[in-house]
Amino acid sequence: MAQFDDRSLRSGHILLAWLLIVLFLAAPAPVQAQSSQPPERPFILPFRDPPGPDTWLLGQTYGNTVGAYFNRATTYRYSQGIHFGIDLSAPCGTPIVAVADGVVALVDARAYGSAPHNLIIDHPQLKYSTLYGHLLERPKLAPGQKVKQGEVVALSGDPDETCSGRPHLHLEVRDYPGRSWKYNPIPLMRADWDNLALVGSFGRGFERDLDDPRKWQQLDDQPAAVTGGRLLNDFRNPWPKTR
Amino acid sequence: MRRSAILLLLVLLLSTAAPVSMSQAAAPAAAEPPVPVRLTSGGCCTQPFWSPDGTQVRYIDRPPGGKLGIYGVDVDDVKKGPSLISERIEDSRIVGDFRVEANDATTTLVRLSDGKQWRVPAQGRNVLFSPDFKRIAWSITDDTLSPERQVAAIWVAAVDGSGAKRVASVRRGSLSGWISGDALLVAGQDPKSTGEQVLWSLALANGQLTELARAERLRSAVLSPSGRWVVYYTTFDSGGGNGLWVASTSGGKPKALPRNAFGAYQWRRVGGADRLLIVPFRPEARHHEFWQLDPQTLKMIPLTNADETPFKIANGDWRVSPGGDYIAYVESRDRNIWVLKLP
Repeated sequence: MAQFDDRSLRSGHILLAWLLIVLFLAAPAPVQAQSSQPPERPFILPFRDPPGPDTWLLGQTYGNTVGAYFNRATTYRYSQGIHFGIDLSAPCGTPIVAVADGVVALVDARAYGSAPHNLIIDHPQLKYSTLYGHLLERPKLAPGQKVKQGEVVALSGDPDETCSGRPHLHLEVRDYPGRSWKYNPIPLMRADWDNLALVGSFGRGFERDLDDPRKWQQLDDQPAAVTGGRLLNDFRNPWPKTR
Repeated sequence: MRRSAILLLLVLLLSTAAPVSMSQAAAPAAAEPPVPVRLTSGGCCTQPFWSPDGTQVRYIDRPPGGKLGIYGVDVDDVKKGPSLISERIEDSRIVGDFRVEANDATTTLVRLSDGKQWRVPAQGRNVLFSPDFKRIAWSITDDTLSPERQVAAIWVAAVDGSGAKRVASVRRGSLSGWISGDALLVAGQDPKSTGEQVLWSLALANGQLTELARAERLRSAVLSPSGRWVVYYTTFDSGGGNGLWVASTSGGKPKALPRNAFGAYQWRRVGGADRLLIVPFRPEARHHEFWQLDPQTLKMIPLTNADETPFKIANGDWRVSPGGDYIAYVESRDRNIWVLKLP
């Protein structure tokens, strides 16, 4: 009799387990609250193709990179010493898509750098602007023209204009309408950044401030920079100290 | 009934909770899948490295209320937790019996066994030691020039700094390592200005460059521990052939690795043989895996399975132990440093 009871109890538990699993799987997903706020990650990647050795790979990330640190007084002086965008390595001529709905603001605006050609799209609804730099040719768009997220807006190029050495897209996220603040695109862009960071990146990590060695050491934990502001990474106690 | 349901839920939850934390860690049985073990907490830290003897995972930190320094965790006794190993950050650059101290314009070697130190003419650059530690090599590039115009000067000297000699100058070049006691692995642009990147073996006896591999965009060449092999990857060649390659440093045609092998890589020694560890690049993968490739046969085997050993490396931050049996990595989920014993 006791044996029968145990078996019944076990059968009951198994049934209950299945019931719970079925109930769990059948339960509707929580409905996301409708909001007028922009999504947390409003941008998509600027390429249509998936990443890979034939298409594109992550190059230099945004922020306090070792490479930027050693060029803080020269190349990156006017962006407070940090790399103020992300570099995505891609063969010349790769179609670039708008990362969000927007309005073309400027084409080949020399004051914004990123030669030989660049494009700036405003996203007033998000309060951001995006800059696409080192383009292959002058984008065939006019200021004021509306673009949709995912629409091809330019072709990637090479800052050296050889298309052999280091072809890449330099992508910036700036404030709107001022466009003087630069933000880390990584927390704003829908992508699996840990997968992207596995390969292709310049692989030199982030410069350390030994007075606060945990600061700015993660892909998504990097400071905003304002044009012309003081150097953010002129550390009293840096590591590494030399190239 | 309700108690049974709660108990069952608890059992289900616990049975899916992996990896285990440091306090729960237990040595896996030989046949069981490897289990990642957490070494640090509080989102600490990045860029882990190994003690020269491979017994400790180390990292630079200044924990809240603590001292700045190099901290370490014994991989065989993780319950002890992190301890301060050295307050001198330069100790993170110990190679064999030497510490390299590079400052703005000077490079100093410190021999740990007798404390003697001397300057070498590397002008603040890091140096690479020959396998027998009798010589050093370094490269100097004028970084103020645009990358297109940069030329790397490759230098070699005795370990005491004497007899320094420029052995090569390479456009857009770099020094990758010592193939043997009398040959260096050098990368750079083809001097005939085709724009292609070339890997050479540089014989120090006569300065002769022997081509090992070339491609339009050849990246991240890494020598195997024995110096017999070099791995690299190529990208964006419209003619195809993009991905990982291995080449023998004694010559011969480079071999393309299978397409599914493209990913992050580091070398490992297994039973005295060179083996390539690969984390395959899967853009949407929830977890990473380690695979191992024999450079001779190109046979590739999985070392971990994402379903059984779920982990994900943050920011490409992982290091193989000197003995090749452990991986230290930063876990994406909690940004702590974890360790994984490889089969």
